[in-house]
Amino acid sequence: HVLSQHGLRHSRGARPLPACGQPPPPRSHVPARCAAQLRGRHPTRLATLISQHTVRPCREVQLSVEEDGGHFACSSRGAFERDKKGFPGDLAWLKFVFGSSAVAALDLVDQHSVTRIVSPSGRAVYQVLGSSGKLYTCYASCHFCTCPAFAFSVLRKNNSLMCKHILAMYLSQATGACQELSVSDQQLASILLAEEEEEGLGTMC
Amino acid sequence: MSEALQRALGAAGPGPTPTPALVLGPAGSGRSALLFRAALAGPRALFLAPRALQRLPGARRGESGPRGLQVRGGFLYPPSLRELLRLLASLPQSLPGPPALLLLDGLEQYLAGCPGPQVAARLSALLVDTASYFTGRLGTDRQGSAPCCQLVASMQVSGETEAEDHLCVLQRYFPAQCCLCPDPAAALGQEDCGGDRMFRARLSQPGAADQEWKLGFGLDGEMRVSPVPWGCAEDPGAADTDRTAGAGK
Repeated sequence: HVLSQHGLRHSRGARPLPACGQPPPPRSHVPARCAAQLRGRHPTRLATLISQHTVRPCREVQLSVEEDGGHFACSSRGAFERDKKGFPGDLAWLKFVFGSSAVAALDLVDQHSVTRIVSPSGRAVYQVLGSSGKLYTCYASCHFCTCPAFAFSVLRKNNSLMCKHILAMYLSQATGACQELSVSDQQLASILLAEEEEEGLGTMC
Repeated sequence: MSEALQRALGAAGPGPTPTPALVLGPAGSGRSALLFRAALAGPRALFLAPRALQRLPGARRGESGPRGLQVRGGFLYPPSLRELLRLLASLPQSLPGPPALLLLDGLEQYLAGCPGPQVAARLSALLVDTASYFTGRLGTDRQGSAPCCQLVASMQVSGETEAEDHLCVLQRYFPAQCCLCPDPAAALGQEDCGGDRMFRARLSQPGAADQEWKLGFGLDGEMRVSPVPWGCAEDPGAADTDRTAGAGK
């Protein structure tokens, strides 16, 4: 009620506010050095970091992950089991860095929505089937996705590291959950350029 | 990629991991000449531009061809952004072998009139992806090390062009930047530059100290390069000289 009076609302997925008189929860389990690396512009570094943390998919297990004294539970559909001997709190770690995109990306991985498309020349590109049913293209070597969220939150507002589709691509690489599809070189070139018309290049440039 | 620029500017030696580099400068600051110099100084290069330059490196006025063939790669001139994107997407099929240096001149001409940041991001990402693909094709050399296809693009900045609105997007994909600007000492008359137009080239890249050079352009288009004495250049040797074309671009 107080928040509403001040015109503030909880956004979906936002970290809950601590009760009055209680100390705020610790901000992070992520070393500052790691966070700084994640904010860098080299996606291969991120893929390496994720793969080093022995994240393993497990479709059947119900998981609860302790975070900041509270806990949040993952549904069985999107659960990731962490190796008890490995890096603690993989899901908390992902959620801290990527916010609500982390769970959405894990859902995409769990649904096998990420496909690596490769041509005889060896060139590869990723396609991710979004929750809306639309296919988005992600490049293998750098941060780029054809989805509107990437254009708005990453490029224009600069308040996200990447969209959920790119994160799903990295998680799929790390967990071996990618589907593979072989196409001709011409077809791969067409996929790389699929959004050209939508961006208005034909008329504007 | 900045390694190719360093080699072109005379600072040899191992540096940080090559990253895509963007050459920024006003009209007439020698952006094209610097890219040509990088192409001539390094391994097999592929040079992309919206149109052919009036003169090739080392050519005298009226000459157009043979010396340009010293660039061991080739020249391609996609006239529009659409053609450039198509070319980049299909390059693996059209080239006989992978280049070790991918150069794009005149980025501002391709991005002129394009709305929103996504077009600039797509072009940059496609360039990076193409260079990354070529890196994978290069394999390992005789010494067992893995060479890298370096990427360098140039863009005119004057504070007035539309393409500069996309600069922050471009910098995501080009971590190294080489900025060309008029030499302040020459502009104030504190140095005798013999009638040459003088510029400073400052290379900034992640994980390394900035480096700076002086560039001088004579009336005949000849380009001279010398490290700034107080700078971080590894080899402050004699100024190198090269006759270049497109210096006025």
